Amino acid sequence: MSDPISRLDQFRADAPGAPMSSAAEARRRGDQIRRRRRALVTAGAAAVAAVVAGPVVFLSTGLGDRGVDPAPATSDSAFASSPADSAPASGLTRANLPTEDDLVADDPYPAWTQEQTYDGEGTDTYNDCLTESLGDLGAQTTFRRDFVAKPGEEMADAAGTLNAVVGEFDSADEARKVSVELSDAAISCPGVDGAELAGTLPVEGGVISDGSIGVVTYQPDDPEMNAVWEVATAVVSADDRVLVMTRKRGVQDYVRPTTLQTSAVNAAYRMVGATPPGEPSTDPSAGSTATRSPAKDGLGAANLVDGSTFPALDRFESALGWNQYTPTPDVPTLACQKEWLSSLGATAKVASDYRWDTDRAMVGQVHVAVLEFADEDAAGAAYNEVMEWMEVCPANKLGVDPTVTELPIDVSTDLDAGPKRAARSHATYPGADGGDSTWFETELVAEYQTRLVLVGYGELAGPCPPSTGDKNDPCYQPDQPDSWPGRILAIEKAAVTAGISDLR
Amino acid sequence: MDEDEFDALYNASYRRLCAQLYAMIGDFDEASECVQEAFARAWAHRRKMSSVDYPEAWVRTTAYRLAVGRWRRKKYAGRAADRAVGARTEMPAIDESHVALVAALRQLPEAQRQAIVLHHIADLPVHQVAVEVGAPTGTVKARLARGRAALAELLAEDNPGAVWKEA
Repeated sequence: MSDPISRLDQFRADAPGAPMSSAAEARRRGDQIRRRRRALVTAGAAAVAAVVAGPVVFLSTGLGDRGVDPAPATSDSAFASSPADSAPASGLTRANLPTEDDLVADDPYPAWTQEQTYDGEGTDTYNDCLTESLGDLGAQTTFRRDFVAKPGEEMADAAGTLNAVVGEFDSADEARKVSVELSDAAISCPGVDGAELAGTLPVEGGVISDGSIGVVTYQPDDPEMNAVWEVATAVVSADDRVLVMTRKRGVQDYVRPTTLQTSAVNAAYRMVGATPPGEPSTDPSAGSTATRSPAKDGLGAANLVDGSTFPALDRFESALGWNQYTPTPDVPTLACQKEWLSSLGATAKVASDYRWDTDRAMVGQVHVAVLEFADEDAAGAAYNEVMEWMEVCPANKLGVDPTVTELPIDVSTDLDAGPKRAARSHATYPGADGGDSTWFETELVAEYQTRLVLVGYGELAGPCPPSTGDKNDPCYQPDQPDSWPGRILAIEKAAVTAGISDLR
Repeated sequence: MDEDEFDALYNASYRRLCAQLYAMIGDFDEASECVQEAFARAWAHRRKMSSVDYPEAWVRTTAYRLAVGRWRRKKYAGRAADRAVGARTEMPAIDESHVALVAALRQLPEAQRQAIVLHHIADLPVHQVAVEVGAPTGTVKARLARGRAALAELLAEDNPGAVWKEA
């Protein structure tokens, strides 16, 4: 018998390898990747701004990619605000700070009440995560208002604090840039060691050109404290102004994260001197914009695949099989997408989500979205945008950093559904257990006439992907069924067929 | 991670990572290209890399996943390789005994091969292998023992076999 250890030792000693390329070359390529990411951030911001121009109807319920933001801002009436209604009053004043009426108290806490208002941002820290203030980032004028839960009422002590800071910048572009920068900081939370992201949500529609909410949690310094700190930060830009709204409280793990969505939307309107969408509009034309009928937009339940027809995820036993659910907080349809799908400017959207659970954890997920556009050009542009997401993966919706493992390839002929174009890519991102488990996601975008169908299909495995059954595969796992590739294709086919069923 | 730290990591680990990946996937050219691309991604994520405990392990894992992805794309799609990597470099010939070893490694189950490469070629202690593959140390030890036994038999057969068949 040959001694394998000495052979392995020799191999290690020789380190047979490629001729050394230079580190500078790797850095150049890394910089190129970064530049592409940045370019996409700018393009994404522009796309969000473009959405404001026209009404958008979301048919499904929920948040983010699931469609309807419960905040009234994404309703048709909010989008119908006239330019005059949203134009900022000249010069930022205290009147542009949110009032008690703009804030929504989450059950079971009492209503927020105004505590103090400052010219400027105050001298104490108003947000633990942010290391730069609006003034640091170039705001010419700033104001701040602090709120507390109505003292003396039940649960007031547990509600924590809420504050809002508004700042005015030289231009709308600069405000949007600052907003993107602060949104990133709210998520990565450089101001706190060990902060963990609990979730993100979009804030969009109406006067808003860019907005998101990042919720992080971190351990308290006080070892006696039987909870963790939660900091929810909404950063919103509208015109040349930026709002930072922060809610901080101590929470138990089982408490649902703060959303702040409605409050942030109302505050954004107030910031630019427009009527918050929750209040009766003073613009008579706004009320005359009728809600568009879902049927008129050509999308309905028939465009969504029935998950009971999906093939079983046979590596895992599940009592329920593929089970429809509403993700909370919302998740993107594709792990790699940069913006919520509303940024693509669709005129209508339907979406659905399915999961496969063992008795211990979710091990499979399918996210489907069908989007209808005003014309084929708009659909084509959106397709290209999604392709960019799949290629560069500038994702920021999951709180993790997915990696593209396979760039998009043309799969239009594989789908047998007749789409004009269809592309599939693969990405991975870490599982929630903190160990070696990994989500292996296939991402699909298909275009047919004025419609796009997006499918994100993830299976949990790790460190290797689920088995393909090919013995030459470096990750061949003989103990696993080899149904992964077939499952991917079957789910994609079913989703695309349903998504364009009324057009064919 | 700044430029100097990155360059130091690159210069110290590029060759051995190429060798390790070659042992894992059996294709020398692919291994080198994927390691180079993994380093590029590390630089693109340099802020994140600063908080990674073992940057070399991060690069190795990324390179391995890239390799698997590329292999599958060739196999199932027959389409162009990803454009993430630059022009192929002319590779030197490999010592025949190493080719035979890699061919034998390729015949092991993936979990055993990974454990052997990480322990014997990447020189990681068992507990660190366990962390990297996400398995208990006992399991890693068992994989190592079985893998070594199987490898000894395969090497004795002196039958290098095919490596990394192209689609």
